[in-house]
Amino acid sequence: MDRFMNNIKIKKNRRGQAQYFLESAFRIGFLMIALLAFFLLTNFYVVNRINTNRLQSEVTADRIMYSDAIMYEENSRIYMGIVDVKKFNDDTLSKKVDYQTQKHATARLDLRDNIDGDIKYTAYLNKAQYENLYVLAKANANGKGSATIYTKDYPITYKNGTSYRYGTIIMTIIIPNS
Amino acid sequence: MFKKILPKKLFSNRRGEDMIIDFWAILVFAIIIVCFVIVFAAEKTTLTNKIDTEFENKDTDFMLNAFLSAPLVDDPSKTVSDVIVEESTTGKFPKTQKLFEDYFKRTMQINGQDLNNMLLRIDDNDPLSITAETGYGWFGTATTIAWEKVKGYFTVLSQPSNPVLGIVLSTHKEIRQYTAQTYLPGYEKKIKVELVIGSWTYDTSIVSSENPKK
Repeated sequence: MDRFMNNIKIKKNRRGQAQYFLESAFRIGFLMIALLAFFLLTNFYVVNRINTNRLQSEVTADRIMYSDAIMYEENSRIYMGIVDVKKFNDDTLSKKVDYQTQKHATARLDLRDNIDGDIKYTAYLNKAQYENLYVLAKANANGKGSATIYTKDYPITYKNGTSYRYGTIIMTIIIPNS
Repeated sequence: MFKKILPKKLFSNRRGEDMIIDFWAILVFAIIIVCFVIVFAAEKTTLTNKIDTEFENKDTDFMLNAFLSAPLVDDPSKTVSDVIVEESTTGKFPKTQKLFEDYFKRTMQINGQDLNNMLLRIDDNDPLSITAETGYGWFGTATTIAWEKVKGYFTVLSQPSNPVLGIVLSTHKEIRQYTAQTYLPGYEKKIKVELVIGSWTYDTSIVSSENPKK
C-alpha cells in the first residue's frame, strides 16, 4: 500500500511526470513509426496523384507526327513520314494542333538535313509559352509553375517542291508541371 | 540470446519491467515495413519502365513505317519498300543498306535515350516454313543489316549469318532495345521486315568465331 501511494506521489509531482514521459518515449516512438507506416502503405495502395507529363508529351508528339499538321498531303491522303516544308511553320502548327485551354504543351521542331547536318527549318507550337517555360525548365526550377522537357528524334523524308531529302525532326516538347 | 549477452538494463525500464517484447516487436515490424517498401518501390519502377518501353516501341514502329514508305531521293517514283522487293529476288541488299544508312544517319536518340545500334532484318521467305525448318523462328534465313553508331558516324558492323544473329542477340550486354516489324504491302506473309534499335554491345568473340564474313 505504501509503495502504491509512493507511486502516485511520484506521478503527481513534476519530476515524476517527466520521468514517466521519458519511460513512455519508447512506446510513443513505436506509435509514430506505426502511423508513418500506415500512411506510407495507404499512399502505395491509393493512387491520388498521377504524373501525366510524359503522356502529355507523347500525345502532343503523336498529334503532330500522325496528323496532317506537317505531313505531305495529296488527294486527301496523308503520307506519313514525308514532311511538307510548306506546312512546316508556326501558323500551320497552331491551326492543326489547336488546344482551347491556355495551359498546354508547347514544342519546338527542328528539321535537320541528314547530309550536311544543318538545321533547315524550325517551327514552334505555342512559341510564346515555349520561350517562357524553356527558361524555367533549363534553370532546373522544380515544382508547380515550372516545366519538364522531353526530346524526341524522328527520321523523316522532307519534300521541298518536287525534290525529296532525308532528314530528322528533333522535337523538344515542354510540358508545364501540374 | 540478447538477454543473456547484454546487461539486463537494456531490456528493462527503470521500474524493472521487461521490455524485451517491445524490442522484438519493433524489430519485426521494421523488417516488415522495409520489405513492403522494397517490394512496392520495385513494382512502381517496373510499371514505369513498361510504359516507357511501350512509347519507345511506338516510335520504333513509326521509324520503320516511315523508312519503308520513304521515296528515293534520286527516283521519287520508287519507295524503299520497292527496293527491298526488287533486291529480295537476289537475296542481297546493297541498295537497301545504303538507304538504311542515309535515312538513319542522324538519328541519335529515341525519347531522349542515346542509340548505338540499329538492325534491319529482312525475311523474304515464308516464316512458317522457316520455323519448321530451323526451329529459330524467322531468324532462320533472314538477312540482317546491322549498323553501329560511333561518335555520330555509322559503320557497317556485320552482316552475320543467321545462326550467329541468334547468338549475338542472346549474348549482347546492356540490353535496351525496341522493335517494330511489319510485312511489306502486297507481300503479306512473304517479306517481313523488322527494325531493332537501342543500345547494346556485341560479344565480338562469338561473332568472329562463328561468322566467316567477319
